[in-house]
Amino acid sequence: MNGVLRSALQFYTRTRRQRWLLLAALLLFVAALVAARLACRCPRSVTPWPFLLGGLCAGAATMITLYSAWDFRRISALRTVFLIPHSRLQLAVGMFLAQLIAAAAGAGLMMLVGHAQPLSPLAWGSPRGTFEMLLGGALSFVVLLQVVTGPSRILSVVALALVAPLGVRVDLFMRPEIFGIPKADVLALAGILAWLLFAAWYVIAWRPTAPLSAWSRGRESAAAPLQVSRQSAIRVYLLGQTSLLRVSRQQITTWMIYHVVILAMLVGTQMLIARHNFPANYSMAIFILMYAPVVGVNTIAGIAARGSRRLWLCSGETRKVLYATAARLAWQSMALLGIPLFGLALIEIRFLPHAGSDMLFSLAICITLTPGALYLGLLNFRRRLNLPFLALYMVAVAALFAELFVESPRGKQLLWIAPVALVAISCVLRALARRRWYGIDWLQFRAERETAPFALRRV
Amino acid sequence: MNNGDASGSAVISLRELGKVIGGKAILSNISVDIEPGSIVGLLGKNGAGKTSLIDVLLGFSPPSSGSSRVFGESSFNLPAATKGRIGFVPQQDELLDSLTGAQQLALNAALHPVWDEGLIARLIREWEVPLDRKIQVLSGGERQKLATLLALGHEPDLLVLDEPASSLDPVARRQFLRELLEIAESPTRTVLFSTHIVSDLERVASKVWIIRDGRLVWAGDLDTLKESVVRVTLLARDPVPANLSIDGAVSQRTDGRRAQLVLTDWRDARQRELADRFGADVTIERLGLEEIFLELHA
Repeated sequence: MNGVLRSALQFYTRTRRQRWLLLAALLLFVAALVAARLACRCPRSVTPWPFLLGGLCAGAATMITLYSAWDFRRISALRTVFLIPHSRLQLAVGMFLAQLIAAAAGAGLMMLVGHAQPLSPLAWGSPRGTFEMLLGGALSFVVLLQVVTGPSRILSVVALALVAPLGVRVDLFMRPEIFGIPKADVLALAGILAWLLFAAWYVIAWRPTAPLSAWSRGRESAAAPLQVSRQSAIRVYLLGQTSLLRVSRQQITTWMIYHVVILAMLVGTQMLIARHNFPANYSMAIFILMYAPVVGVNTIAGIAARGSRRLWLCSGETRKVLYATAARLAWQSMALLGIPLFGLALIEIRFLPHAGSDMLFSLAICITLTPGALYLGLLNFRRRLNLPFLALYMVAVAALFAELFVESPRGKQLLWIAPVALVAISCVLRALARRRWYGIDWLQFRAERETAPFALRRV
Repeated sequence: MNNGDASGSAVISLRELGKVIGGKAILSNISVDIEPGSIVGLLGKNGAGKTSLIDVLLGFSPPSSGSSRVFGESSFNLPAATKGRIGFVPQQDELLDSLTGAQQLALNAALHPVWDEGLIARLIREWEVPLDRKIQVLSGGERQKLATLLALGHEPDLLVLDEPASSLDPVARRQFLRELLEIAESPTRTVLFSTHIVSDLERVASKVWIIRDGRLVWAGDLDTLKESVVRVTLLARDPVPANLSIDGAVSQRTDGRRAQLVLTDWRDARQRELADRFGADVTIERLGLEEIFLELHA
């Protein structure tokens, strides 16, 4: 029992970063509720603050859950944990308990602050429903993350494809009941069922793999020519692959698989199951196209940052030149990923039906988010979960979330500040990246073997 | 041991070098030089600061205090020409897993203006390095051999190896060390290698640096070290006191009339001094490097 409690506690408080996130989520939660109370006399359309704060709070809460889910998988993969009797059972129960406590705390806080009126048609905010929604949502999210981050790419694509049809049935989420049962109960039951199924597999599996380990294996690279120029040798060293084109193609292929699978699922669902019952909504598939360059460029820039150490002696270049080379590579990758993927998204926005949000605004957010993601990648010298990137990503998500709820033209116009702000953030990040690179202390970012499952070591 | 001001011709020159990470002193007040043609073994326990010292002196990391110079240039801002004179084998190799050994060698050859194909071809044959397989499927020892080849191809004047033989089997280790001696035969080539395998160091090094908790506790000739640290046994007529208060005593054990000590800075004249002071028969035992290392870390 002690092990279970300790496990549950550590998923939220093990590192300083987790504790800060927890504090930020709590403060944002209270701020969002206070802003909602102050704004209740005004027309909703001109006060985006409650939604913005609520979006940021949801973002912080999502990051906490994401971090704990990542940690859960990472700890499970350790050989030392493998040898502890019943360790995985304790971890699984601990994770369930952690979500239970979080849902209870969230619902309790909601009631304490006095926001007991449900936000129709959602059950959110009511004494009966908030806890169930939080628990079900958190458990489902954790299970989805476990499946998506391993053990194989095929399974993660299939999992997303199964979830994708839910994106079409937005109408289901906007009803208080599903098939005659209160929606909060359905969500809680679905979450618990998903968790039980996952936990059953997890406890009997021989040894769970580390997150994304199946992704990083990669395929055999094409044979590099034995006579290479100095410049291409530097590029290969930075990327760890034979060409930038190849790395970019890998990224595009992965994201296009998701895109095509989800598109196929949406088209199939509409044609075969719900032919005329609801409007087609291809937003989810288009969102994947728009976010792919953001994540892809961040990944490639991070690879270049981690490859820089091994070039310090053998290339003879200074830190400034190494930074310039890595940044140039990252910008080239942005062009290679951004032009086809953003272009395709633009075409699909023009031709595919979608509802609910201004897709051109979303596209602008993603395009202006990409340079920031690039510089955060260049700052990511450790091969770890890039939390600053997730924070930036959440800022963009909050802007999109606010766009969904703001209705007045003036409010919509004001929201176009967000892309400008993202460009400004990119400029700041560029300055930070240059400063870090010009004086980089590689001793603090010692190379972690790519083959090692996980290096928990801190220098 | 050169830790004075004779740094003009020194390959490596460290002056009051310190390194602090996260408020913790990793290296403290290290002052030492290496002359051309030396083979220096850097000896220390795990976590003593060997790799940190190498990282600072090769410019991977800035010193927090003091200075570090290689071939007269500041380590943190080494120019390209100076870097071209350095070969480095890191503790954890930095090979590209997705390439074959041959591809990796070709990449490194492209980065350096000079590349000794003959030497590399000979070492590939002698060390039996498989070049046609992906690096990700090579064993730890094969990876280490390949990483060492990469450091030798451009004929460096300074070769720095961080735990170079830790993944090799005994046969390969002996062969590797023999090669290291051959490579270092040139009077201008200098080798610095860190290890915690004392027998390796004893077999190859002419000079030794012993590092403990980030401090250099010995820097000098290996033979001088062996001569200056001895185990002394006293057999007195009367019981000896528990605390003998002898200068340079690293350890001491007393049992009635008998006492055993390990002393540094040993001179033969001290034998007579100790015999007179305690009225005892004094016997001296020379120590091997491993025993000296253990005593210094006791």
